[in-house]
Amino acid sequence: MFRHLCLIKHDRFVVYLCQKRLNKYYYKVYGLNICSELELPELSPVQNIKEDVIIGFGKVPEHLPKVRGSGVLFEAALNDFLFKFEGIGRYRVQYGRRIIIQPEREALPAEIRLILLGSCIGALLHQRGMLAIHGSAITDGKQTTILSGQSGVGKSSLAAGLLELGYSVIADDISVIGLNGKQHFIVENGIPHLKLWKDVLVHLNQDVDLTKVRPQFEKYRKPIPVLEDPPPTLTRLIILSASNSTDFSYSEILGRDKFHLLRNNTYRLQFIDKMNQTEAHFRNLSQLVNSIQMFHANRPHYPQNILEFAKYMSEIIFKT
Amino acid sequence: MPEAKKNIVWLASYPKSGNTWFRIFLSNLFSDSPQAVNINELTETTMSSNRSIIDSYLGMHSSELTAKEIDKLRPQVFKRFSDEKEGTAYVKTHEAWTLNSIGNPIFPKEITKGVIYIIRNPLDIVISYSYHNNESIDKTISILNNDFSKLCEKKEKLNIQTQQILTSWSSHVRSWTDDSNLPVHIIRYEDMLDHPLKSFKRAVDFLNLKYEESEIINAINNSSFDTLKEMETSDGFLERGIYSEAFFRKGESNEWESELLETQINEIVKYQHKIMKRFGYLKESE
Repeated sequence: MFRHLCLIKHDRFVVYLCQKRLNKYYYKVYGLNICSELELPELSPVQNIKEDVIIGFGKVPEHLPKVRGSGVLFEAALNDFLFKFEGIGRYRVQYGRRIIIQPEREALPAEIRLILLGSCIGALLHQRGMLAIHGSAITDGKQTTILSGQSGVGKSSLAAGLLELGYSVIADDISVIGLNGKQHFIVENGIPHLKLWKDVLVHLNQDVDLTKVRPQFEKYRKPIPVLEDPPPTLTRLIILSASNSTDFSYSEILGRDKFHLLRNNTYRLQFIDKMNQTEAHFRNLSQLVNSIQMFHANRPHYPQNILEFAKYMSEIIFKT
Repeated sequence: MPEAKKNIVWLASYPKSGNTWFRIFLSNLFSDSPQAVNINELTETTMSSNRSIIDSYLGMHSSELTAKEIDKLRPQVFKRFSDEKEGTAYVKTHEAWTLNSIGNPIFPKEITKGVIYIIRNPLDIVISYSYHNNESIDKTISILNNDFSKLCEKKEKLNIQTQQILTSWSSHVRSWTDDSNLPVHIIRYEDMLDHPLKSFKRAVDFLNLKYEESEIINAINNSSFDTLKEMETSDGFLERGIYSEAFFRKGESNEWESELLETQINEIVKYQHKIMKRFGYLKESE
């Protein structure tokens, strides 16, 4: 009897199937209206929308019929993308319009959502020909800056520091470029959470009583206020780095390096040519690159001093 | 996946054993210029734990994966890296040669051209490694003597590199030289210091690289300790430990004779004597 109950309790797939019959959830993120059969508590709910994207459950094949390119965990074709992670599930992203999920029986909901809202949304944005930069976007209400750079360099940590100083965070990890009514570039509102490691939360004296990104490690989702006003114009992009220097430093990026670095900091760049989206991507980059200033900013690896770096960066970003 | 290319050379060593020195030698050897290459622009090599490369082939953030999951996937990452690489790739690693949770070697044989394994007296490693990490000698000895030692292990913060299984010094040596079943060329750090031309030339021959002796001598001179130390003093070195004052500190052997206490020497020898003896770091009678 107890064994039977345990099986039901842990069979999360059953829960999803029930959800499928009962619920539809509506959200807005990256300028897209989303209708999902899977509840996505990370996103901002909305009502009465005409959906741009549908997320649902269904059968997903082991492989795509026509593969243009692949990675260890993904296969890509024109308007078709497959992501599979053993123990979590398979995902199929098609025509920039729908995502089908086939979760595995032992998959945790948070883990299903982690891949959905990361690589799968990234693939969907590329299919739609949208430009997504790997980085966090911040604003003082007048202008927007993207903090980019490789994983682990401290983009989210710096965004958390700037949030402490009173600035607003528009997006974390994925900054999707859009246009406002005046045809100025903006960053669309992203997922209203910062994903922060415990050491950063402790360093900033913040509560760690938050939801973990995955139960296996100490990385948490810290909710951030959703920006109500239209996002201000994107004016700057900063490529962060960390080194064993003792001081903060920054320098402007000029000429061809701007394009090269902007391209290299595209979110899931490796999907693009395999999806046959290289031309659209090139066009997007070319349009954006001349409209923004770009800088390198470097901080010492050690000691970690997030607030000091945030103060230094706020001077560069918002006061020069 | 197409047929595997045997085009990866693993530059393997326990930390602070001369791996960076060998990489700088290779960069100088491959350089078209007779001038010494800038130590902050070593483009010829990458690292087995480089998160950016792993993320790129996976298609997701490795920071959202456990170490066990990453190691399960890394053989496939390396195979794809090998497949896309034109010519030979030189990949630095401080990891021990190990199998992942599903029994596959993390460093796959089918893509391996060879292994340069650099070995150094553990009595000298502890001194160098303790400076590098700004840790005590005793703490560093406990790392060298621990079969479960890992690098970049902390679960509450993100490292630019993924977690690496280090093991104890002896297990590390054995893993590459006995267990891996890969073509391994072993170089002693002490021989690189005492007989540089002979040591580096043998490595060049093992790698099947075609260079004149004069070119090898030039590369050795351009990667001499004094040159590297001067470059680091003048421009810094990106690979310097975050807690240490300099990466290129002394570049000597047998520093242990004046730096280690008798008890510390005994503690290392007690755990490592078999491999130390095998590689000439202990007299036959010891």
